[in-house]
Amino acid sequence: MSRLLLLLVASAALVSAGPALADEGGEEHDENPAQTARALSLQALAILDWGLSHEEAVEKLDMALEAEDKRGVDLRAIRAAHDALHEEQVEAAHSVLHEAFPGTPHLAGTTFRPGSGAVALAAAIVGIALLGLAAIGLLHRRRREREIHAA
Amino acid sequence: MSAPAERVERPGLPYRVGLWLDERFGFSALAYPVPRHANALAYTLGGVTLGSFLLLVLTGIYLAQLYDPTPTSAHSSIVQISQDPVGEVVRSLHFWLSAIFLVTLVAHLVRTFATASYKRPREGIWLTGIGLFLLAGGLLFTGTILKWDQEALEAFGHNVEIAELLGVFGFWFSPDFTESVSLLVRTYVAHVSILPLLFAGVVGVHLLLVKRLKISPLAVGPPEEIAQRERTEPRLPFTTHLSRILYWTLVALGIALILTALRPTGIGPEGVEGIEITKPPWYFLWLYPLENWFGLRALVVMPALLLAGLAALPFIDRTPERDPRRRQAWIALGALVLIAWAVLTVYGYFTVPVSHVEEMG
Repeated sequence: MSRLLLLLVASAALVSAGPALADEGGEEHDENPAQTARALSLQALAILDWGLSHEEAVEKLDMALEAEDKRGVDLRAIRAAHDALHEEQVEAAHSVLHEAFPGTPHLAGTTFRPGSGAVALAAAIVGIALLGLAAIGLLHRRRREREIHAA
Repeated sequence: MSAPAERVERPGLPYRVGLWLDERFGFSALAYPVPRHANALAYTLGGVTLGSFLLLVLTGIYLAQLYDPTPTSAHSSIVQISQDPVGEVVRSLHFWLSAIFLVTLVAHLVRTFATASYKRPREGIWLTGIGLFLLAGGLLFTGTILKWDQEALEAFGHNVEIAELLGVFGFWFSPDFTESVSLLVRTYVAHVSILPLLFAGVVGVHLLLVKRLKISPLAVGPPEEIAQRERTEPRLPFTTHLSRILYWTLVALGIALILTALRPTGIGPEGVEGIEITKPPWYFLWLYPLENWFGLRALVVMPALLLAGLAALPFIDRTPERDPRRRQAWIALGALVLIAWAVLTVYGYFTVPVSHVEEMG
């Protein structure tokens, strides 16, 4: 058990140190970067799929083009759809977006992003320290219980 | 001339303070004997679940200071929380602690099932445990809705549809319950007040029953051997069990903090009413394929069947056997349920999303 706990602590230290140390200093964000271009574009596509107001779809594409995280999207297609919607060519925008996201779209409700900032680093350090403290405490308790049992 | 009095060393200040406190608060009553096997991790899971719940209450109190539950501001207040470095860490910690809470709760339930701890005279402990399982599901569901992004809005839509499905019994879950307070605000009240209070109350009864009926025996061997061991097994003070729980709760908190740093929970874009393009969070994902096959009704019927089956268990399985190796049929049935849950979850993850709610928005 003690080896398992030590291994757990060591693994946690190795795994968490990398991304936490690679942060850029916890700068302030003007917008929520979790609102990715992909999520916003999929919402725009769904709005058109369901035949809702195309103005709402334009807003979503506006936000998608301004989003910090533009991974996983074909920006040219998003711009083309955006321009088409501005010209009220809803069908054209719809088909461009469908081609950009082949298959049925699925939007993940929770968008994870890598940890950043001093507070996240502190959380990782405290987490590792707690694991170490718990490991020491559990080993100590086991020894004490054996002593009580032997007595 | 009398002999000089033997010099008695005065105990230290911490000891005297402890004595003073014990005289007034009776802490030493916690040192009642418990069987030695109670300190094994498998028998500590319930305590770790409770520890995680208390940590969820603490992080929840912090988040409640910054969250605005009105529909027009809910999403933006979560975005604001996420932009603040401390707020983001606390929110992510709340998210990961809820996952650990659920995992330890289910592991505790599985251990209780495997060792037949629900059998006479502990049926009451089992039934209150099932109640806690149901309340935990309610806490997770209402927590999902509060973030008010696309996923939350769709969960909310399902909530309204299910309320209609339940007819008169679903009145509280319906927006028509009152026009002056939105359903989101009432969901928030349920999440931060009604459900945690009910949970704490049922936990109290659960713990009192465990104290009264004692921790279930180590389920190894035939019933006579188990009964014999229950009488003769070495005892340890309950305080040793409490400290085990404390240390394992620290492990849970440590893991949650590391996950918070590695994978902080984000928030999706503000939800759009009238579309359905998300899947539920992982703990409800097993219901997704069932909903695809049988419609919204499955969201009520399947959990109800599961809970009814669990509640009926002590009244169906009445033999004195407790050892899992001697209850192969029941263990096979339990394994089958777990495998079905895992397969449905994986299938739900890969399945193509479809729309279920007819009139969203």
